[in-house]
Amino acid sequence: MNFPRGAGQQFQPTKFEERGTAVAFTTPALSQARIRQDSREQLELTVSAFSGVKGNYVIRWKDVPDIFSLTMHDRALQDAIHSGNSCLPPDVRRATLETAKTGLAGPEAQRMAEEALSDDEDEKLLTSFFLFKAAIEKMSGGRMDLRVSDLTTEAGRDKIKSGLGDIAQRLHTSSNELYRRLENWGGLIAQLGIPGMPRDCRLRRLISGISNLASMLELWADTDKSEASDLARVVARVARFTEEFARDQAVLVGRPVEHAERVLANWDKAEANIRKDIERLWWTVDGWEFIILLWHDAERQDRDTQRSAVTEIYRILPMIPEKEAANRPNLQAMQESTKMQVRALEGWNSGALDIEMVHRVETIKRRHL
Amino acid sequence: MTDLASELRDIERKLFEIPDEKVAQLTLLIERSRAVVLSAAMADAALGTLRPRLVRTRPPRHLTLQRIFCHPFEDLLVIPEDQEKQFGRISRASLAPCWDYVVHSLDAASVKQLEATLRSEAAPSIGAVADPRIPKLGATLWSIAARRLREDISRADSDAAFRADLAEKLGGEAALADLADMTGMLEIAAPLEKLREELSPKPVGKMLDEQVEAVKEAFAAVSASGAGLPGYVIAFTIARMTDGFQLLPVCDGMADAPTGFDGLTPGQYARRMLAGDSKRFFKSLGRVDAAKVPDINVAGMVEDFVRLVGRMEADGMADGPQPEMDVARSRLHEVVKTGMLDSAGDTVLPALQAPDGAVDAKAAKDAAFEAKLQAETRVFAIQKVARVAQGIGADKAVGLTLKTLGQQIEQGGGGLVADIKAGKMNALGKDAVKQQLYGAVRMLELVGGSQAAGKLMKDGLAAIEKMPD
Repeated sequence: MNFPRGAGQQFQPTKFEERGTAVAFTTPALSQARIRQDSREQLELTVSAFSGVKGNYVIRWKDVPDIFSLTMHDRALQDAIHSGNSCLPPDVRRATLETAKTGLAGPEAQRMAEEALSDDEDEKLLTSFFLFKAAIEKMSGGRMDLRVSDLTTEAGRDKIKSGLGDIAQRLHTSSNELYRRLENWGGLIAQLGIPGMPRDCRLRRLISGISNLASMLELWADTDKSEASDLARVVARVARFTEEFARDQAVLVGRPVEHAERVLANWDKAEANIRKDIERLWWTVDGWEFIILLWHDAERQDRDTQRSAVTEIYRILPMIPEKEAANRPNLQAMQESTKMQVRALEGWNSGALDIEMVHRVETIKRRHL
Repeated sequence: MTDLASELRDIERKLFEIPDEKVAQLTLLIERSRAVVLSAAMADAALGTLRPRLVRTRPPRHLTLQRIFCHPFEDLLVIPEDQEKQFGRISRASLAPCWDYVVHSLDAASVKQLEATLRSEAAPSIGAVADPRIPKLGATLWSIAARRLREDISRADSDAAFRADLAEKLGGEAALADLADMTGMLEIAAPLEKLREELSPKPVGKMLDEQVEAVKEAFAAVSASGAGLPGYVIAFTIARMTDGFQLLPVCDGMADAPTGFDGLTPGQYARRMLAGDSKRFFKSLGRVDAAKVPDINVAGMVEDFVRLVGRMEADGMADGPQPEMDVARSRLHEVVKTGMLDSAGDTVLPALQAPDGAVDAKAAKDAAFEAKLQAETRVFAIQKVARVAQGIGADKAVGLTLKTLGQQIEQGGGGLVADIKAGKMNALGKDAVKQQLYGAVRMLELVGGSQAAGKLMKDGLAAIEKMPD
């Protein structure tokens, strides 16, 4: 059957919410399938068509265990996400880590999840500390001597609250309320952090990781003679575009710190904006961690494995939807470059679970950035 | 020096955290110290540890005339299994005596001049794909060495006394045969360099159409030029491939084109070389020690063995008696049985037990982690062998082990659910009991599949739900 030129284009996701969030399933056929909400706010899964043709299957989330033969880990993950009823990237990530913590994807994935959750807590504390510090300096001329431990003890928190008294009065609120606003703000941007922190938080590491991946794939493509080299160049180009887009988003999320007083004075409105911006950043980088780790894993293996990895990466490449980046001058060129014929080096199907394939996906799950 | 091993282990762990410049410095230091401070074996061990990182960083290597000399045939080098000459391969053991002989055969002034030029040439930067000094200096060295060595090889073919003398100097007939192969490769070094570019990076996995064409063109060019023996093009190609059997249809397609070797056709040449490689592989398997090889590597060996035997049988290369293959098969069977299956229960079942409450929490957690890791590694290895166990005659034993393990885990899981229902686990609390259940579910899934595991998970979670909070 011949399709008219551009057929299917109208069904491409135009917004992040339509594209959905990548889910770290260990069932090979579902690896990095995406979850999203339908028009009735019910969760659904989009899976690449198995025959290798363009397009996706859309399946009701609750039906996924009936349609696919899932690993035990994936049954638990499906259930955890179903209970949370959210497909926002941070919520899906949380559910993923909590599920991996059960050990159903193996002891190494379990340990990684425990470490990642603990890192999240550390980053939250650190970001809050630097945010409190920066905001208070901006609003009071840096009079308050703040320590990280002040945020973890009742006495410390009381000390901060009493120090916030004058500022709170100026903002027509209470010091308790001001503390709560700063705390919420810190929680919202915890995984991005703010500029000037001694270490990069997760989202910044991820953005740097996307940039490194682009460089590595550009180099790799120059040394490869197969058709995978073209795919690698496309992936590198998309990675560069995503990295630049994400960096701009990160600047946007960090900017309110410069105007802390105004932000805290109009907190309800500001909070909604910060939440919206950080969510956009989460969506932008969603799916890239798996890709980066997949490449790191392949990088140490033979050329055939690397070519397969590039093909797999191309298959799951998280493109930024058109409406999200409509004002970017090079969006169209980047999208054009991804419209090419792909011939996967190896086929895969949805038969009975292949323990080695599952193991391969789990290997990626043992690491995090 | 006794701490070098632990240093190396440490480096291995942190291999990808070391900056590129440091890797480059370390590589040069080891290579330069090879003859002076470190033994060759120690230097090779150190470089072996660094190798995964060297592939990525590509630091400039310490270049010597010997390394340049070896470059055209370095892909053919193998660590010998015995004193026998292997067709199409060159023993590493022959390198030193042959190079010694070459240096003394060449004009001393020319060697000195080459050494001086080498010293004055700048090393390539970190990350360079190739070292341009090699083809530049090699063009001269390979050509004068080939001319000089050809005279001696030809004389050795017709003069028995000279042959005996030369063989004695080199350390035996096998080394002399290796010298002849070195000479043959040096004679066609230029077309091989061109072909190397096409067959890069090494190892070449699935051959691309362009690469097949390049091999055919190189073979035809060497045949037409008369500069050397075209068979070496086949040896070079197979040596750069992961799976040399891919080349058989290409060689068969060349029909009766002369290879320059005892009337061998390209197809026969390739088969003879592959048979030699297989025999060496079988010999190495025949000596595998279960105690020294990790489970997952044994499983990989079994897989490689069965795949190789399959390829050979499909091509008729396994017809007739194959003593090395038979020894390897029975050795692998033995290693799988004693190293993997006999102790499967002792390795897997402890992972299902609850962490020891008598020791401190962190130590107990670490011990539980290690036990789970060992158990999973063992099960993955057994499952990997299970796919091809018939090839080593171990299918029944593997099947029985998996069945028994599955039953034991299922029984243990059933016992756990019964204990939960009976309230015997209440003191541990829901979270700890869940962890224990998940451990059993995971292991049952790996051993017996998702159906049994799903039932255990459902029953277990239902029982836990009824536990008091």
